Amino acid sequence: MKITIRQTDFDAMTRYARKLSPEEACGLIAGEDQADGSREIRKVYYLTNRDHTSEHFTIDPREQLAAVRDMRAEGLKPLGNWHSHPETPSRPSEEDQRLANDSRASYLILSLAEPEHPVLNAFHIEGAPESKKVRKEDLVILPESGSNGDDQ
Amino acid sequence: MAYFPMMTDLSGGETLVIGGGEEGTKKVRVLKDFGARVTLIAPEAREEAIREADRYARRGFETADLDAAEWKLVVAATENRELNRRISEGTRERRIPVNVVDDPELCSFIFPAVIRDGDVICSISSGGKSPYVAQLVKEKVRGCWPEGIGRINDRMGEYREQAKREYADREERRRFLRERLTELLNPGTGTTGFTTALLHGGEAFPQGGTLPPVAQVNAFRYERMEDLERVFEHRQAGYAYSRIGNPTVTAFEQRINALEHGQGAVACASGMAALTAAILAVCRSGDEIIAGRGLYGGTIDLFHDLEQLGIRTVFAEKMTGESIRPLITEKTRLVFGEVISNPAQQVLDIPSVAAAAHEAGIPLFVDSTTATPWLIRPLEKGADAVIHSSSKYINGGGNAIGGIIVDGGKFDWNFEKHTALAEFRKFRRRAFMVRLRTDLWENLGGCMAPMNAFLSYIGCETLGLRMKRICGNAAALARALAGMPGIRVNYLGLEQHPDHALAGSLMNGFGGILNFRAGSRERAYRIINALKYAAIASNIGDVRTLVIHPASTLYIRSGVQEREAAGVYDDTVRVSVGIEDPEDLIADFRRAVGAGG
Amino acid sequence: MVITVAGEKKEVAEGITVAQLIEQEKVEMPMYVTVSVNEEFIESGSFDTHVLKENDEVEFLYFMGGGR
Repeated sequence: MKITIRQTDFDAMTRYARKLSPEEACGLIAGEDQADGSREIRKVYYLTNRDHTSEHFTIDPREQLAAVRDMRAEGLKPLGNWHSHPETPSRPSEEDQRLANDSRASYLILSLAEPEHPVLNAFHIEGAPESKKVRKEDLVILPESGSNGDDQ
Repeated sequence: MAYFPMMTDLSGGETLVIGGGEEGTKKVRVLKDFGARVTLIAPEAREEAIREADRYARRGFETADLDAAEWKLVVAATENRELNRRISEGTRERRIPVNVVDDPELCSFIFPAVIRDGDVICSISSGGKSPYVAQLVKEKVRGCWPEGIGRINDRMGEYREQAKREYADREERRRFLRERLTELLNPGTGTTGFTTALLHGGEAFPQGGTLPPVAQVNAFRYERMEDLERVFEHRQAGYAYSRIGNPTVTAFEQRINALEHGQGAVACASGMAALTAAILAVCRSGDEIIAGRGLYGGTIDLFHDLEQLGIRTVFAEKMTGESIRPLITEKTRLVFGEVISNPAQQVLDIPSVAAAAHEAGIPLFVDSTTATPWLIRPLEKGADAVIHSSSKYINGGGNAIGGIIVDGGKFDWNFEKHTALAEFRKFRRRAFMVRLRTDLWENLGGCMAPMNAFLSYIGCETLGLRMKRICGNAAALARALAGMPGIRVNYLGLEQHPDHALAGSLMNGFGGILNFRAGSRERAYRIINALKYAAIASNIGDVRTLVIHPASTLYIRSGVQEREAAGVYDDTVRVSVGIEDPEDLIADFRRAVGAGG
Repeated sequence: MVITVAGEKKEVAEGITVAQLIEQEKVEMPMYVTVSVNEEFIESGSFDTHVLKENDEVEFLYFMGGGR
């Protein structure tokens, strides 16, 4: 499935993840599902990793609630979550898979393993806890800048 | 007066943003996007601004702030116009560029509308007159933005370094870079993923064999008559007789079908058998075909033979939509062309021809033998069926004659027009392939031998590697030949070939066929005879480099006009470039050209 | 609901897709099967989205060759 994210969001996620490294950074993603089955990420949320470790992440539930409220206010759909892997590749670890319980969600993983080349991938995870099926989604990074056509 | 779009490197530079509201936050974000360090000063600010800023002072602005660092620029984004004005004055006194949000009068620079893709920037401004105009222009540009250009630009940067190292001559450097860019611009089939996908198509063979077994048998036995009956009715999976179906051949068909992204394939005894079956499946006596000039000699001969069956071929001067439209009549049932003609290497403008053909309810079949799915997938460009002589690049080793038809399965047949397929109307868009498989192709008997299917199956595994090497060699050899005395080279990969740009826009490379004119038939023969590594043989697409004098062999039955339309003259030498080490090939040709006198 | 599969009436779950039916019926050589529903050919790419309805007539056909 095709899922798009703006270049400027990818950059902002990378900056945030680098700042928090070696802890894993995490957050939610929101946007729209299109008629042709593709997804558009319109907003990325930067939340606190309650575990504060480099091995796993837990999104602070109060922040999660606030984010979901914000999505609703902006008319956006929750699309899934994202987190960073400061040292490992952009692939869901066994633990990531075990904790992925929503088969409609897109799980984004940002790898900082190679300092000059951050890698972002999106995954679809489904199945019973002991036998998860992981499928890589077709993530497309759209060339957009944050200045939004300001010209001022 | 329009503003000058100065591109400046902000990375690592210190910038100051005063005000953390909506505007201030946007500015912080943009500056961070372009690698600047941002200091934010505001009594209160949005979460995003605080998160992005490198330093945040939760207080109001003080004039001393303007001296706190070597600011590359300052942005005044407070709610207070008077305060903004003071900041602007102070900044300009210190000769630092300043931007005041919503107040172009107070700005010494403005932020343009930007489209960014890697290091490629498109910067748009209306001179402060209308953000709406800037937005409109931005949308237009975004609409035609070359996809992936950022990454392509990065690659071009690497090539630039390589060119500086490897080419002393500026012309050569330019040509090298232009050709690399043309190659990169077509994502088409791409070199990454092609071989992996080819090798891991998900087929499973008996006993876990990594390759299909060779079912060198005529017939397949069943335990019960009822089962064989069901197989003949197509209601049970199974094989009956190798002329109509064979598991080794099926494996080869699956592979090529997957490579071409088709909806069904049928393998044949040879490319000519494939072409014959494809044409006879959709044309009957009284029908017309539109085809390009400069076709392979065998194909031209076949069209002559088909005239006897009442199928007339009309030849178009050029294969473009405009050129074929006037030739379409009520009798036209098929448009046919070669993706890259051999040896002139004219390129078929598939999207344009397909559009014109489809407008008139006619399918486009193409022969992609000289291109291969590595260079282009014609079914993805608008062709309805693609035909190959698998004897060539697909097999790769010159060890098995064969052909294959791959159906795109997307053409909406009008069975009142294509009456040849009327009996199969219930299969709708699949009617062509079903007719071939269950009727015509079976009856013509041009089936592929199981052993040949196996040899071509394994040869095909290296198609990606071979094509990459062959295309690289052809380019190097063409460039070298172009510099040799009395030699006029014709190669699609050279800029001067009339279809070079078209090829670049459609394909992933320029192929492995080239030809050159030696000045005279005698000199051509001398050069050919003097070559050590190029084998004098009638074939193309082998791992070995092959050479031939086409006028006296392949075009022996053609008239002068037909020959010249195919780019074949009395002094033409055709080379099918192989995978030898390029330096050896170049040296061989240099020596042979010298010896040729 | 009742549908006809290869000439025989069968009881299947509501909302079953072609892909699910193929699995359920243990259709042989699923890589090579061509499927028609009420005489209409279904693209292999649509097997897992095409939902069957009451009284649909499903046929599994084999044209032993490459690709679907």
